[in-house]
Amino acid sequence: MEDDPHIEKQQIEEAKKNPQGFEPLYKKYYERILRFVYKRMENLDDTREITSGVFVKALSNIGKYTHRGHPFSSWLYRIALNEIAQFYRDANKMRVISIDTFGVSRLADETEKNRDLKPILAKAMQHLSEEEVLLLELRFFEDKDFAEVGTILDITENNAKVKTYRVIDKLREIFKKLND
Amino acid sequence: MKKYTLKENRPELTKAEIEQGMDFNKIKSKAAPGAKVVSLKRYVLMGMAATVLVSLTIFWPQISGTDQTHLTKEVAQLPTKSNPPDTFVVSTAKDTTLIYSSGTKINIPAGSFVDEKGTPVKGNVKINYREFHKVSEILLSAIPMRYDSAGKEMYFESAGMFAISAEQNEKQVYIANNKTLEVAMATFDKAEKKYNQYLLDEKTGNWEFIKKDAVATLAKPDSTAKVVYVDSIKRTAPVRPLNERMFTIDAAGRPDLEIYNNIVFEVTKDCKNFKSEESKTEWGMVNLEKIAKTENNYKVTFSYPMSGPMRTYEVTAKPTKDGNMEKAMAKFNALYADYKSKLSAAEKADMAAEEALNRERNVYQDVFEKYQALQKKNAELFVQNAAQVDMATQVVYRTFQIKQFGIWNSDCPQSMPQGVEVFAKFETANGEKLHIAAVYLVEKGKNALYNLYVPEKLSFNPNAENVLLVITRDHKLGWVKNNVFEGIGKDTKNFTFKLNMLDKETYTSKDIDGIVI
Repeated sequence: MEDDPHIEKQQIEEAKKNPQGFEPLYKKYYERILRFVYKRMENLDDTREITSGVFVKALSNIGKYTHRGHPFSSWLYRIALNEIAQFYRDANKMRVISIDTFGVSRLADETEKNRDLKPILAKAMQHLSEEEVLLLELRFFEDKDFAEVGTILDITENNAKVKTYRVIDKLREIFKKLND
Repeated sequence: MKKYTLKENRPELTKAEIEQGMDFNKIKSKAAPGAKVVSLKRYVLMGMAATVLVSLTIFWPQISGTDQTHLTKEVAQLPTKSNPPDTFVVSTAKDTTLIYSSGTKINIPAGSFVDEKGTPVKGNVKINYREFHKVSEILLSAIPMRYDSAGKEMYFESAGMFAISAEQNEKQVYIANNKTLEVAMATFDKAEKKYNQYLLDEKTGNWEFIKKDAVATLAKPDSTAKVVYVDSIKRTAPVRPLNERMFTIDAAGRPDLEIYNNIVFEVTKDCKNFKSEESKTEWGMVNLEKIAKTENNYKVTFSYPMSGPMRTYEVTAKPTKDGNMEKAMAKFNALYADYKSKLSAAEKADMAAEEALNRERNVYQDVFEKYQALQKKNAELFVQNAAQVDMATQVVYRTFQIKQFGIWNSDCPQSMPQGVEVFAKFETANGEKLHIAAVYLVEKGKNALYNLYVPEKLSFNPNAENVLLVITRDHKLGWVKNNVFEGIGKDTKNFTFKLNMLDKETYTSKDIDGIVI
């Protein structure tokens, strides 16, 4: 999924010396970040604005970036998550969660087999924290493997797995209560 | 409350929709160009070198014309003497409570640390810790105090900040995923509830909102006269609540409490301290003291709650009929005899462990000597700090549950003060022009640094007591006090601030306190 880390490291060092050097990184990651943000926003205008903000902040702070084992995209995702959180705090709007039939079906397999989750999923999600929602989104609605989830959240693959299964357990309990 | 709205089966973005928003030139023009950035950690945690110059540059304009000038949003820093953080050595094998000079308590559970690969760290770990309370300390720390709220510049009024990190053999260590350190930071405000907790993202320089502040006013710790290093708080007698007024004590490992093991206690009906909301709390420690001249009443003091902020809770309680005191006493006597016989063996083992520890301590001799000196200094500082608190016997604690190291802040975002706005110029008293790196407005009574990004556009509250601080590119500190602001009328459009100048190789917080306090 990631390009050659050696080349990317060179691109980062180049961007630290000269803002123009950031362009290859921008081109490489723009679509990925845009799609990531869009899944969590109401419309494309807000999505573009937030995505633009992510790269402005990344370029402004590229000098501070140090490689700590995670790929560069992990840093961009973290900035994106901060920007999205800030957007919703300021706008005082409900945070958008994008779901699809296939993801709901996979989630049902893990929680309430043979049940149609759609009628109660929206209600159940209200009981989850932002981090818990994020884990479900990445795993079930954006089809990321645990290594990718870990990369995006800046945690280990194993930790991503443990945390995701905890959320599934929690969701299962919530479904039970809502069904009673 | 509804927090989320679900959108189902949204169409994927088309290639055209994706490409339409791509504009690298726009990104480049909006970004702060060419910022050379230094690690905050290097400044804050590892000490500041005397030769550090005013830091980051985007534009370093000569403020003289009428064009608006944008200064860097990064932090301009005054050179200051090397001032490493305070350090404590803790064993990873034990629960440890550190008590800092300010009265702050840091609870570190055993096994809290991992290395960069997530492998548990064993042996001793060095904790680096520093607090920032005053404007002067904040200014010299170079910690950014801006907060971007939807594009609106806000500034933090601080109830206190701290920077914490840990290392072993000069390698950084991290907090294990399943552990939480608790920092109950002693602050010197009036327990106002307007503050929030933030964590500095050192990669982006942005503050991340964590939660509303947890503030409590508690009795000053016993260590006011002497700062103690509490090696291990034994969480060996957790209290389990049964119902609102009843509880039992698990005295495992506490022979002195064995007599009460499995006895059901009930809070007396006339106990005025009883709080029903505390009945759900599980406590780490408990002490029981028989109340003289009563039939069977005990003063029960709970402390170290397993969750929530640090506090103590004291009630009067007595054993209920459900508890069989005689049986418990017999069991206690048997256990106590066994305990005594094992004690001498344990003491021998302790001596061996002590010798091993001493050998290990020799390795850390330097750190320990510094620590002992620090203890003495801390005792003096704590007494001084405590004297500044309005309440002679109380300390305001703001408790942080921290899952990662870094710079934590108890802050309240503020807008730039309003009331009078002037087009400002800055020069020395002799009319010499200045190369300005940063301009700060300080309001007395508010622990905030308002950093003027566009220094010519100066707004201030005429009803506040204002001080203006200016840092120049050649490391001079300029200032004017409130008497100058009093001379600015509400209708004034342009104003030239003639600055008093301080020119030192290195600055201390006392230099700045002398101006702003």
